[in-house]
Amino acid sequence: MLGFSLTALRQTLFTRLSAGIGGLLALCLTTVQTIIAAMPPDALPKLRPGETIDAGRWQVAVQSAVVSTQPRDDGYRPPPGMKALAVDIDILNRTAESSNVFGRIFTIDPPIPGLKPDPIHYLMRDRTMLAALHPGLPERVRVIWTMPNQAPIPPNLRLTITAESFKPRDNLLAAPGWFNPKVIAAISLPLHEEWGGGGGAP
Amino acid sequence: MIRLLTRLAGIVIAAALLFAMQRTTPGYSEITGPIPVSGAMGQSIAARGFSFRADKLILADRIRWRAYGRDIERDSSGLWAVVVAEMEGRPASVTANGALWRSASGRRYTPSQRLATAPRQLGANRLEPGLPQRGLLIFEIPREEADDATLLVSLIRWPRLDSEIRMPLARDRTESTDVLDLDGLFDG
Repeated sequence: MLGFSLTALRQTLFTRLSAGIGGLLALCLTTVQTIIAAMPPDALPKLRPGETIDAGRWQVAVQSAVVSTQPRDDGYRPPPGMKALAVDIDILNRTAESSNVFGRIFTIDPPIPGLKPDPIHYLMRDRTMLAALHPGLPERVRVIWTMPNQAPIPPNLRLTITAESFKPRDNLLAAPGWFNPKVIAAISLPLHEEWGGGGGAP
Repeated sequence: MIRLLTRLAGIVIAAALLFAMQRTTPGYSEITGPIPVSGAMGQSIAARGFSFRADKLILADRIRWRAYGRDIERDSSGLWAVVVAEMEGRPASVTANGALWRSASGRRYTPSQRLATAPRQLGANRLEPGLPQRGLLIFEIPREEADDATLLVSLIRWPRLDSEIRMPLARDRTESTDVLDLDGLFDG
């Protein structure tokens, strides 16, 4: 009688334990994830001006940053009452396909008050708006943000660089693509005003 | 013992079979991808919705044209690849802007958008049935991607279950030049 109940108890325990293993594992996993998420993020690698970095689809090197109110040699003219913040970059399409999604690479962090969020990209070779970048053809590009004339300019501009990673087969259509944007580096540039102190609208 | 071994072998074979099937199953995007139509330069190729014939390929360092009373010249860190072709909508009017230059290494180039004002570009206008249009497909490519390329032509850039012409670009129909005048191409 006693032996029988012991066997039954052992079996019940075994069943319950094995049924609970999955849940236990999931609990451990989520705990570890929570701890990792709560840890302070790693310090971003700092780039120097002109240093090249592979950022997912793009290979970029940030050269310089300038604020100006005057019409520029690239043919860009800021609207009246606005000044332009221009960042010169060298950029190369690392993917196998022509692409025009270069608008997501840079984020200004900390943000500059009054800055319009979406920059315009200028292809310096043609002095016109950039339409697409083709694989293996490096270009010098000027990224231009606009901001009101009165907005104060910080002495330094800090840009973070976002990169996506390649997946040969995505989860939905099993097609190759670039996913999971992640900030991979930061660069600080001294910001100076061209043609003396901002002035008025031209 | 033998029964156990047989069972084990069965499991291993089944696992290998499943793994092989998983590796070789075509993805959704491949199953519903373009339907290739092969053809050579110089012959007219009929696809669903249009017909296409490429006559020659000109590789140039710089290209030049005249627009709005100004001479415009565009250079490149690579090469300009200009395909002279004829296209016609068939059986109905279509707009075809799915041309791609696929290089030997597998890179895919869309026609250059740096030439918005250049004349006679295919893809800009609608193609009408019975009125074949002679025009240009202009790509900007690195020098090392010029040889043994394939021209892909379809109605849209990512055709789904629709025909895509795949045309190897033949060397005997390729010319090279320093500066190409686009306006002069159709005068003679």
